[in-house]
Amino acid sequence: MTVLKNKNARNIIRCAVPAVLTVSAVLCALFASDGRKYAVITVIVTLLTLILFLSGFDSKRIGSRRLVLGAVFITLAVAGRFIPQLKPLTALVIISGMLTGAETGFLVGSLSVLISNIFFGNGPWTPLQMVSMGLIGFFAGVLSKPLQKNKIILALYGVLCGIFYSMFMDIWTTCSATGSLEFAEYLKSVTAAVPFTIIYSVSNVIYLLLLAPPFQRKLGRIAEKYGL
Amino acid sequence: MTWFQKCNPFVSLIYFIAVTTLAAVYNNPYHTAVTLICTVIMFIMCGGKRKTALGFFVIFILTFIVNPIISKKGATPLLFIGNDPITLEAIVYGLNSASLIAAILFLFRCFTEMTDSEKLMYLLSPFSATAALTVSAVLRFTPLYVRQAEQIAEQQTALGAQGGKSIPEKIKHGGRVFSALSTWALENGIVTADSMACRGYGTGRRSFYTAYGFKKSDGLFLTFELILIVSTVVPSLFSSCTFGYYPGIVIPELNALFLLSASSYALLVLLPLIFEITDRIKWKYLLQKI
Repeated sequence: MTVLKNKNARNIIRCAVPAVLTVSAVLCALFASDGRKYAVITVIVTLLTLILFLSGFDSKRIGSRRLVLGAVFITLAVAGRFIPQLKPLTALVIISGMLTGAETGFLVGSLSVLISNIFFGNGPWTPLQMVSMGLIGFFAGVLSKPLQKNKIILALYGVLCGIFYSMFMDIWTTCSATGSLEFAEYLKSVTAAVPFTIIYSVSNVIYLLLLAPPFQRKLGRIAEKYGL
Repeated sequence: MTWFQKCNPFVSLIYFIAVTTLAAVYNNPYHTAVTLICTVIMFIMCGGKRKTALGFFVIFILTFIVNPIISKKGATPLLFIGNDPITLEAIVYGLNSASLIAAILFLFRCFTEMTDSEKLMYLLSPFSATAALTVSAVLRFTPLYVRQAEQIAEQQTALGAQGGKSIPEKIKHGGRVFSALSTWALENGIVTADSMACRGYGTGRRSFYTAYGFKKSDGLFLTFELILIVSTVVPSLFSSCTFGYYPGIVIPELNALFLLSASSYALLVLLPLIFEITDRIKWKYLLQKI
């Protein structure tokens, strides 16, 4: 993106290209595919949405401090994903969104999935994981105040995130296994995934309740020391 | 596959996206078979591990079995389990989609094998400089934190706070190290950010360094790639290349347009292998000259 000198023109193009592509992909999908290529369309649309989200970020508005804090959280989350079965990734994404803001939350969520998938295997499901995890971080940032004040709301949010993530990824499971997205089949894969959803939600809540207060204290101390 | 490792990442990204999308859009046993064979060869040439291949094989078998059991569509039932028919169409569809998923998994494994962090940053930067910067920061932090965590653990041991061998005590020890590490990491992050700001990050126009140029061979590959994508897609718009599964199997008509599209697709999938083999032959020839 070094060709264009004008900053505004560059920004407009960066946001407009994925936006146009997303809309046209959805329209093509509706008209041309006779309703069978759901898996491909799902992946393409999520990938473009992701690019749209990421290209909207402006590092100046976020600020270098929050950016680096985001990177710190990503590193901790990626390292945490190496613990088998119990993965504190979601909890750390929620905490980072809650403490550093919605935009950083989206960045932390999507990039920690992308980077940890270098080790765990990227695939067509990566964009879906990135978007869902990014949204979890984003809404944690939006709901920052109530989440920080009330432990019960925080635990509830953890449960909701577990259910949301599991159901979002089941869209991919259904699409890739049967090639179509019929509600009955989707419901089947959701029911099949219930035990995993429960493990996921419970571990989210445990990690959130364990990790959120110390991180709040640590960031509070740093805010006092460096004047955030 | 040394070819993919040294070529421009965008050129290889276009190849991966094109092959995955086209294979999934046509969803035709012919396209799937071509993709699967080629990706397995590429996987072996990338030095893929047998364990990974075995894992993919398990996914293949599972997908193959699940579809006929779940799906009740299709006109020719072969046998009944209870009241549920197992249809021929569902078995064919299951075999095709299982092979397609296996092919895509092999392809992505090849992609993972040759995309290192440097390439990831290069690919991200045109879309979002912020994301690329964050990725580069994470890549620097990872070894730093590993080293710091080792130091903290050693200090804890020296203080006699290592604890016993039982599992709760080990978890407690791990938690203490993690806590100390995250306090240090957050503070270190602020210091890093401040020093970035002091050196003028975000004040002027961003300059751009790329480790990957655009060589003649990249141009050649890109040209071939685009021509083949066009000659795959355009004929298939005028003649149906879709293989019908439900309710009955419909095989597309074997006309000139379909043959053109199908052969272009095969060439597109084989393109990196062709480049790789040409490179190897050239190398051998040069060695013989010496």
